[in-house]
Amino acid sequence: MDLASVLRATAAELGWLSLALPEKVDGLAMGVDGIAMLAEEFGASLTPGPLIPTLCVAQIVAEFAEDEQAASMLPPLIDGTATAAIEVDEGRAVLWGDPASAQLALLRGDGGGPRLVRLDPSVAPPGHALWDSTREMFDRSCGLETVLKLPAAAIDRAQVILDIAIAADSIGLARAALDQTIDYLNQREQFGRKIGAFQALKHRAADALVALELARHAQFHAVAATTADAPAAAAWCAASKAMATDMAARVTQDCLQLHGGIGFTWEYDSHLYVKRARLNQALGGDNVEKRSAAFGNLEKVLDTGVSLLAMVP
Amino acid sequence: MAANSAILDSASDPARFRAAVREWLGEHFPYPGASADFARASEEEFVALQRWWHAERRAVGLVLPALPRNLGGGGLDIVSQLILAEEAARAGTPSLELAMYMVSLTHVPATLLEWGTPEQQRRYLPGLVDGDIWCQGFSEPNAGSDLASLRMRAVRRGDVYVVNGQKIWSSYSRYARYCLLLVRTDPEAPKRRGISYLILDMLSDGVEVRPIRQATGGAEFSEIFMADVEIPLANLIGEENQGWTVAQSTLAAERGLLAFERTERQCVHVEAYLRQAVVEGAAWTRSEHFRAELVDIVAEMQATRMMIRKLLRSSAEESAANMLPAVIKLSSSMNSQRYADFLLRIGGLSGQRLGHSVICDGHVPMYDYLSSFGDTISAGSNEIMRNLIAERRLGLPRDSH
Repeated sequence: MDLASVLRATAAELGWLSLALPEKVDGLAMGVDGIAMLAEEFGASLTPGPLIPTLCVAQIVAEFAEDEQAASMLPPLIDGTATAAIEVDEGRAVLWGDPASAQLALLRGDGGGPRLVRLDPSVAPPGHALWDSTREMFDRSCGLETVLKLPAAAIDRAQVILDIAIAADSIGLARAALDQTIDYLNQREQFGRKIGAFQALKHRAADALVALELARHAQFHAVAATTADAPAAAAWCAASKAMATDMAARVTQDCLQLHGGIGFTWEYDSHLYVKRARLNQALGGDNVEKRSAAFGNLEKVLDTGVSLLAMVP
Repeated sequence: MAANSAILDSASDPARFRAAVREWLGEHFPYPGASADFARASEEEFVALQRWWHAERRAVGLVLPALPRNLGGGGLDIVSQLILAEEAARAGTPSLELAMYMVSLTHVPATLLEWGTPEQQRRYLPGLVDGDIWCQGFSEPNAGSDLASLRMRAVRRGDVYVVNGQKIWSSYSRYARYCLLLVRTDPEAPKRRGISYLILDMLSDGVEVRPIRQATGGAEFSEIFMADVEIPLANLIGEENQGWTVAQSTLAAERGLLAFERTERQCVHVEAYLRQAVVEGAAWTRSEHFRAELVDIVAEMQATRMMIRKLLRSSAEESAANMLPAVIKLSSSMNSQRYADFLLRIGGLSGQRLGHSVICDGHVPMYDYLSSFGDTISAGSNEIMRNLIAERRLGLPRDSH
């Protein structure tokens, strides 16, 4: 078994794959909060495999399918024997997931509308090689048997879950990259002292920490708004995804630079963080467009006269 | 004059307290003069407004909400203090704590409660409620970020200290009756161990206050020159040469409440500004670039508000370990500067016209932008905050700047 499958089996054993699901399907009902906690640790440990698309699709099935359908679709996703994929490049049927184990895929729109389709892993196309070697994508444009038509609300919900999970993954990987960099700055000596004593490097490390804390608290805010079903929740999730992924791209870039030559080598981990951060940044489209679209959501809320910025208690 | 304590008496029930505070604020706000923003009114108007609002707060016992009631305070717990700050931000009251009365209402009680003798507490605390204005004499021309290198000299002679030297960046000291003063009493000791903390009566002979005009055009700060000024030994706070330790209490006084009130005020403004821009269909709301930028600024503001709420719930030990106050100081000051910078660019050429090109609720973008340097530079510059975060939170080596 490859590492991703071993990790998936362990995650299933620990109950992680059902922790966010509602109680009616024997989940722990931790919702997006639970997904965020898991995804942060996936990012921090550079966990390979399609855990985020699998958690996201399982959540949509549990929340939108009839009980009977859910009862047949969920078990393989919860016990780790199968995974799910999700369309990430709209209209082009590019799926984020593992072609060798994905049995279900969430498609967003196009001709067939939002729907869940069944995949047959035995005739799977090969995955695209990605710079981020911890995740996979693949094309799936034909032979898709629809198993469940979904309302538009399901796509909105999936987007919220993905935004939260990708933001959390980015926060986790930036945290780990920064921790590793701080260790290095406290150990490497040049000019007769630890290089972490130089203010030019200290300030970059402090700026990275502040950016990380901001992204983390923007994420807490987005999760709290989502859990409370606050009026602009989807906009806060989009803004949080954009903030966290831009932050992680910048922080991992600084972390590689702060290591000097060793950070530029294949053997060292710095580039793994950089590559995962960049895939997260690209997932879900351009961040400027994403924020601009979120502004549209805020405009609609303002029109209703509801307080936009009130804090969820 | 005994305060009417009806609002304070309702504080056992948060909902009742909020309603009482809101009703009281509703009697005074919106303030008729509010179209010219408080901070940008003329000097005399500004001072008069601050004094008026202080008196109104005194009438209901809310000058020092957190101070125990037997010392003249409101005796409010943190929940009620937050409600008060939220409602004040919502109503758009003058923010007393951020202006002429900031030192009196924040730094003096924190310092005296921890280090003052019972005699000093009895002598000075009631005056705070009555409206005594205090200032702070910490920074010197050659002791800014490196505060501990301060040189104002105090020599003991009989029952007084004789003080000579110069202080700078002392806010509202022109109006102050007293000053929290750091002086050097032992020039031979290592720099932090030769500092003492005194109370200066600003009416003493030999004290001269000269205003400094700042980039906004106002003159909020002054220099304080002192020539052979005599300060009684009884005005020493804490032990001689322990002033640095006492000063840490003064600097830690705000506990996040000031940042809380400031971001709540900014939040009220952002929401009003956004609503107005959307209703009027402002041109920038059709620019992808500006829309995206505003969303990021607002998301950062919400994140900062989350951090401040966390700080308010955490213990002193937790804050010392995670350096959250420094993280908040950096992120909130940079966020307000970024927001002012955004409004300035939205304003285009009209934002460059001198005077009151008010865009919303009395806000003048260039004035706000210039004022934002007050936050990024004062109370420990942002660069000092970065050192603190790097050394105390991230554990990088402490020396060699």
